[in-house]
Amino acid sequence: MNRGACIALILFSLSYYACAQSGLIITGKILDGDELHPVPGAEIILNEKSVGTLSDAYGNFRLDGLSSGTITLTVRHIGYKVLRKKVELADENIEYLTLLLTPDIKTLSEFVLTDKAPGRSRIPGKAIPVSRMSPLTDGTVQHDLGDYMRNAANISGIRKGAIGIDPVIRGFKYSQLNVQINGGHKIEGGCPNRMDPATSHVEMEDLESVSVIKGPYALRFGPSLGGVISLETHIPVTASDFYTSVHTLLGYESNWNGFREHLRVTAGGRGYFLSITGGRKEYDDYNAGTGDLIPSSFTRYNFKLQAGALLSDHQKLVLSAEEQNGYHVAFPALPMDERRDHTRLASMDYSYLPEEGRIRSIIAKAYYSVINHLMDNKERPSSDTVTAVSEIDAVNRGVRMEASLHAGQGNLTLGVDIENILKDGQRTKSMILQPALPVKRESLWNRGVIVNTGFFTDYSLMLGSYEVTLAARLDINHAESGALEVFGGNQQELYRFGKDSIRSDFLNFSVSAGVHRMLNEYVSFSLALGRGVRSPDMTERFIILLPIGYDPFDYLGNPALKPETNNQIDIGLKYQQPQWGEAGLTCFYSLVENFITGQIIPPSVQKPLSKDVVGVKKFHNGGLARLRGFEMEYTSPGSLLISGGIRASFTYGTIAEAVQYTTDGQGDPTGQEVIANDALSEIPPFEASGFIQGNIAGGKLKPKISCRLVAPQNHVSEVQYEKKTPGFIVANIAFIARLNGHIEINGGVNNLFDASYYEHLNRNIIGSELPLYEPGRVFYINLVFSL
Amino acid sequence: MTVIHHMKTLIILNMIIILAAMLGCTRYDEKLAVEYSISKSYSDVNVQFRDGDGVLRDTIIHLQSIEDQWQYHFEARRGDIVYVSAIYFDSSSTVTAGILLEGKLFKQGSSNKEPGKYVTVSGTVPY
Repeated sequence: MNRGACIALILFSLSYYACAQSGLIITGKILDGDELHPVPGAEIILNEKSVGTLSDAYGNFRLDGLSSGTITLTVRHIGYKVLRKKVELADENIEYLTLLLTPDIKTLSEFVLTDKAPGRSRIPGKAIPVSRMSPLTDGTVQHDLGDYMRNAANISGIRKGAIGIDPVIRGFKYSQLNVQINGGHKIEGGCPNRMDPATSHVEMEDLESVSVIKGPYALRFGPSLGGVISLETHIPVTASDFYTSVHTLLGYESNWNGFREHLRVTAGGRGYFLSITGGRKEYDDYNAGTGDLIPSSFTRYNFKLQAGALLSDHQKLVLSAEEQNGYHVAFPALPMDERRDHTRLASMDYSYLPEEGRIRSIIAKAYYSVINHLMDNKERPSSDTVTAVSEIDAVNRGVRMEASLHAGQGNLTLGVDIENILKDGQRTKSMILQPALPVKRESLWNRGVIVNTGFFTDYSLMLGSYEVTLAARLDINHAESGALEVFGGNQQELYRFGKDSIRSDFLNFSVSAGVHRMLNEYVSFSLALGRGVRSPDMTERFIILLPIGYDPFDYLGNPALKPETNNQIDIGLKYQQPQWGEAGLTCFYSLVENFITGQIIPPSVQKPLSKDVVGVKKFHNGGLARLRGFEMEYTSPGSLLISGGIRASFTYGTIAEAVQYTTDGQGDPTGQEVIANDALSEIPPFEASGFIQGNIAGGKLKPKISCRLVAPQNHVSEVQYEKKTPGFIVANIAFIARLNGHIEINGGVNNLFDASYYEHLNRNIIGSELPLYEPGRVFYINLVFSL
Repeated sequence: MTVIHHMKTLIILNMIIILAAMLGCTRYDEKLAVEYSISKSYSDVNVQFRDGDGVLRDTIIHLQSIEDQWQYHFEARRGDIVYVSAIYFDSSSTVTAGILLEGKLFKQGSSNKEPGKYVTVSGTVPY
């Protein structure tokens, strides 16, 4: 079936469906107005009578059998101000509402800092700096989560191709960030070059919210060094009567001729739901602002099944299974392209939310992710002589359980989590121009295993006007691998790490504390202190000679690495006034001990094995690194006819003593050179952005103009041979039009003036000094149906 | 109410079919016709080639005249390695080895009076 026929059939079906319905329904979601997380257990009352319903564990609600006319909804929840909203019910038979509750400061002493949405809220407390994004409602629809996250303050990304942009938060990246889906599901990407970071395994169209908890403070969801990226995908709800719903998205982006299709069909009823979701993306290469065509095409499919059941009034079970496939994903900055990525994800969530008693909630989760990743150089010139194919299997499975209790004046959470990562991979090189077609096989990982068992607790309470949060975590980390060895064509041993040393065990203790205080009615102050420890990851420990950094070096793992520790302080000031909007300033200082980085080793010790690389680097603990910076933001009230906002952020990173070998003409070491306070590599420069948005026809039409200014980055690492990058300015325009309760159209133009630019963190085109430019002007439009 | 119920069921089935169709649209398993050819030789030629199952095979052929040609046909997926190599030991002979994809010349190599030298043509079937 071709795409046109698919779209026509969908449109026909939806219009038919819309005409066929009768009876009036209101459905929607209750969210915390400050933190945008769902509010469970809120009362939704109709016309001030006793008729109504409660929002479920995910904040969703549904009212059926309503008559036309004006009705008043009253929403109540302890800890929030009462919300009253008038709704006109006319010819539309389903109305979808998103209702934001404003926290009631006066009643907070009883409930604040408790988990308002057990099992769903990931925000550890108001003292902790958090960036929140809601892709479903902001209209800036992107096809890659890493790309989308670059819209937030002090979050940037490493671009190696069209997708799989790797998030960098305040200079922290990779395993320094803890990425988790729906409260604990973790994914270990298959690619050693990070073509598929964990964030690339979440479909944007399925994503409801993104919360970035900055710093080593949130310890409930695994070891946290630089921050936690908490992703919430759509989970359907149960209802008092049988219902069905359909959600579709059809999107097009010019420049790279990209099509997106997403479809979700849900059915539910008293105590159960079932949903089927599927999607497809097909994108060609894009033109940069320079006019150059950048190889960046990709194809992705996904298919997901979810089922849920209420086991009792207070117990819920949700099962989820998903399959994702990526094909022919071009990565011009890497030595290979992704030929095929086959990912399977499964999870089981159990929640027990009693209404009274000492226990507030018990939450358990089990998850499993398995990735088969295949990449090759078959579309690169080098394949004319040597065809290289790498296949990697990565498995991540784990369980976690936590209990939340009323304890004294506060709330106590206790829990345990276990994560088990397995990775194995091999590169096959076929010398296709040599007689007899010799084939050579090299391990990339040799059955590497990491098991991390963590015990965590946090406690939050009100002490007078202070909100206090305390958290601690103990991790028992074990890792081992098969021998790290490389053989030449004649079975000559090229590299071997001592077999007895390929095992390591660590006991890591992390702790954090935060305090938040309202200085007056509008101004609040927050302070957070934390010490987060993380063990080295699979790549840092066990990778065997592969170019994985931004630089043209083969990297070697180091099983003797010590854990990395981040000691950080955050100080924040916030002003919130309903008439004037919201302004905030957060400053941070971070001291990282045993900072893990690559160090050049002389060619006489180890020569590189990959094409287009100039040497070998081995991971080592590079001593003390310092990161400091700020984020500031102002946003006017969104209810104004014209609203706007500005934002600025900056991070500055140095390493106390950066070491590199000096060598003679033969590549033999002659000594070592120490550079004091060298810049940390891959730190984004200062940037500022602003937007103006209209609010026309009661919010049904929202045009928006935005602009982003990025300064040059001249503070670059000497030891890592990092290059300076120029600054740039990019402007975008966008609109969201909500035609009725069922149809939304959003669109716009990204890079309005077709600027030729690249981010500091974009990698170079492999084997060249050319940077990977961002896309030029892109027109996009998305059609969203919800029935 | 019954009509609406049936309609909903119909719509949902419709959606599931569309979903399956969307996910089923893939061209990556497409197979292409591959032909190896050895020609322009007067003598015995040792030929080594990679077949459709990825197995390396050897054969000795004897071409009767310069117009004579040895061919081997199979089907390959995009990205598969195609490889044919030829060697002769008659000092006055020649050989030309070629790979055709869907009837069009993909790669070709030849040698003229160079006994004992391999002529190897190879590559991967383009995506």
